[in-house]
Amino acid sequence: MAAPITLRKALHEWRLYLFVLPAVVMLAMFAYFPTASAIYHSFFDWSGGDAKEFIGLGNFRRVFSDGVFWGSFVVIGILVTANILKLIPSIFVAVMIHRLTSDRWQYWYRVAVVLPMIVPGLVTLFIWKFFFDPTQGALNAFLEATRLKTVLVWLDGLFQWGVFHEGIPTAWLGEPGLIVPSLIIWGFPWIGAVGVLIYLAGLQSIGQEVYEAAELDGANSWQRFAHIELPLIMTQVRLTLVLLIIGTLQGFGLQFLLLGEHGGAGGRGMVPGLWMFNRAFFAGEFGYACALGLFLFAFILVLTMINNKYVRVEK
Amino acid sequence: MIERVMQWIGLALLGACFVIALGNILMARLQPAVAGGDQVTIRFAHWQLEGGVRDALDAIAEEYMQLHPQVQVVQIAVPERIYTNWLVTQLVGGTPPDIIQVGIGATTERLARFFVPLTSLANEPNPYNEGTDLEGVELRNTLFDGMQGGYDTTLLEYYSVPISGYSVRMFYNLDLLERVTGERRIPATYRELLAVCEEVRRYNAEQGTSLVPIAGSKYNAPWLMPRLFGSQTQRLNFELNPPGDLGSDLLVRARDFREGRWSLDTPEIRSGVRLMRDVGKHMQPGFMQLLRDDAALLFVQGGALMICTGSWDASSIRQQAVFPVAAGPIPLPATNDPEYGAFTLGAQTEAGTDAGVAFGLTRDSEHPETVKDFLRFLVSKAMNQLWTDVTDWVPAVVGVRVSEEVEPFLPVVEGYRPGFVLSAPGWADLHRVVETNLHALFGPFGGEELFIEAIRAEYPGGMQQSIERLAHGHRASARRADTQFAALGWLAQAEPDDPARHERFELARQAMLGNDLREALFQRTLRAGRIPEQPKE
Repeated sequence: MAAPITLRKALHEWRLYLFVLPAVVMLAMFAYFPTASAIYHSFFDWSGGDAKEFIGLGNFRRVFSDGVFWGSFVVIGILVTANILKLIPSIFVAVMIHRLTSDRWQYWYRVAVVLPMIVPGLVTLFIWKFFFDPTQGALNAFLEATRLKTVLVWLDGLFQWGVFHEGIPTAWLGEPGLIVPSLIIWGFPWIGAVGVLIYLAGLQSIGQEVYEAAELDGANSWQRFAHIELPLIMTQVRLTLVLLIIGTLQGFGLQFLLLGEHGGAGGRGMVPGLWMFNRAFFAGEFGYACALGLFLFAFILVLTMINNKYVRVEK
Repeated sequence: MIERVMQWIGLALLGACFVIALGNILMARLQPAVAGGDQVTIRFAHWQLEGGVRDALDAIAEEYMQLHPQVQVVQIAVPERIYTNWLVTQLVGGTPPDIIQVGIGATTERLARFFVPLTSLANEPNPYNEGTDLEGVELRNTLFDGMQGGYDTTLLEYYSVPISGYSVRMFYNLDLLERVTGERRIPATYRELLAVCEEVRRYNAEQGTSLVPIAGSKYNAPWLMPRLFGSQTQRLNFELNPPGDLGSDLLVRARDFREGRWSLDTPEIRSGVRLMRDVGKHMQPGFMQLLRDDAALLFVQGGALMICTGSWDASSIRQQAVFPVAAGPIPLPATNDPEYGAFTLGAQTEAGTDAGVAFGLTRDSEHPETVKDFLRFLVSKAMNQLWTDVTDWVPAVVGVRVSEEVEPFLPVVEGYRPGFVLSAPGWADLHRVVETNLHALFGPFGGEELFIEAIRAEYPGGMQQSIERLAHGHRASARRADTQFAALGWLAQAEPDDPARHERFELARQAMLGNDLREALFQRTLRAGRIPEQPKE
């Protein structure tokens, strides 16, 4: 630990602090001020305008009895689990690109992975929404063309899902039982460009001597992955894991655009972020939405701490 | 060398784009100075992206600019989907355009805070109507609704100037109608509508096609379903409120619900739900997951025989469809309908519809007088004629001639008041309960019973929460109006010979009566305690 310095020493070159001042001001204005404002307004019955009424802990008490809010954590739990599993294809793609011997091909594959990032996220969302269209969508057309629909109908009969019916187009986003599966299917084959690039960076930092030693020991392809590559990119995996959990918990754009402000049929696609948005912009309960946001913040904080504590990287 | 250039090409492109964007902004900002300092630019924003609207507004702006060369009018079209967010950001950020279309997102509180009252403008004759039969007539009285579409009953002021009327109609693909039924006659009654839908199914079975009788979506269905449901509560509405003076207000019906005068098992309610199901099953499966554009696309591509939407979509549909389109009133059950006739009073009137496409003046405008002048010009008889000629929308100014295309969209004055509905968008919690359970009604094996059971537990709670929120909001807004009302009363008393002051006070008094009535209703409903759960009868 560095030794503490005196105030006199700290202020000796005080002009240097001016260089960080713009960044501090910006951070305070755009990050800390909204956060402080949210904390402040969570104690008010506030509809977003100039009139507000102090209600103490009223909003927080209400959160505890909010069935929709707590119910939305079940959906988010499923989505977080699914999204963690969705990391796997990105890791495999990164490893495959990394193992290409031709630099030229490695370059083109990297370009191919990054290229979809050019398409705005909103466009991707609408394309997927169109895939899910019951009568004109690609997903139903594919299932019909490949006869997979018949298999799904048979499985439906077996497990009594009650969602796939012969002769009736499947309403992927209109049937409560299919909403969460649709949210999971979204983004198939789940190769995230950012994830692949992060893992690639990690893989490229592995020294050649490690691979040579593994070759001498007779390690096969899988063993190289399991014992060298995966452990050595765990720092990157942990980073993406934290970002993914935070992103999934906070995010609601996907659910809002695909399902609407109520979370779709039966409210099955309702996630905490969407409920917060719903309360603020559709019910006009901005104060309550702020309280919900603080709960969400606390929840993410706890999850991140758990993540940091238990997902350890062996150095 | 080429390699070195290629390394920098991305950055160079980015830089060039930045410089062009910066140049554009600077040019726009500096334009008045360049033009000689007295150049005024008025910006006006709206969400009407339908066919013809932007052309019409451009044409009107062009006329105005010819008349006033020192004024430049710039139109900003914002998609409806993001309009609220855009509006709030502009208003709170202090950078709103001079004129903003009022409606979506413009709550009473935002009107009071960010918009200029236009009452004086409404009470003065429109100088641009000189030489017409509307010369000397107060501006508000030149509109078919008396400018009620621009009046805020809580703030007791006019806040916007509406320029168009509207109605909801069923649109038909005439070629397809003829192919399926053998004739081009559109259905006039509910039974005829059902018969056409069945004909489409028969046609599909024979020809192997997959035509949809009615194109549905979560945008279009809510225009049709309340009319259907409302036809079944017309009689009940009248029985619950014999004089009929309280209308179909959901708040009044909520009070009746609280007092057990109707329930989810009342035959009229059951019948309304059943009727929605009977029509909904002729829309494409899962239509409640689809958007406005999905349904419109299906219709204009010839995949659906009918679509229910507003008059505002007529020109877009006509422009995009490669077949002749007809429009007519929604075919509702008649009083002699064997299944749904018992609870209906008959055709529904559209007489109470206010004018829309209303424009308000923002407080941040640097040229309020020029903007007011432009608003007067916009709502003059000549410009409203231009508006309807270009857009094929219903005009708001009285005496404006309409084309053959517009005639089917003129409000139907004859008929009875529509009945009440189960929920409304403003009743956020109640609406959520109903909306999220519609799959139980419209799903492949859904139905009346399933739907009612799905909402039974949550409906009273949703209604209770909605009333509490609405009462709270109403009280906050009414507090603002109290001071204003007192001031208007004082002014009317101070100047007993000024008829304009008295008229304004009278208008405010009527609005205050409405406010007081609502407050009394809120009090009565809330004081009675929580709305009890609804056990199955």
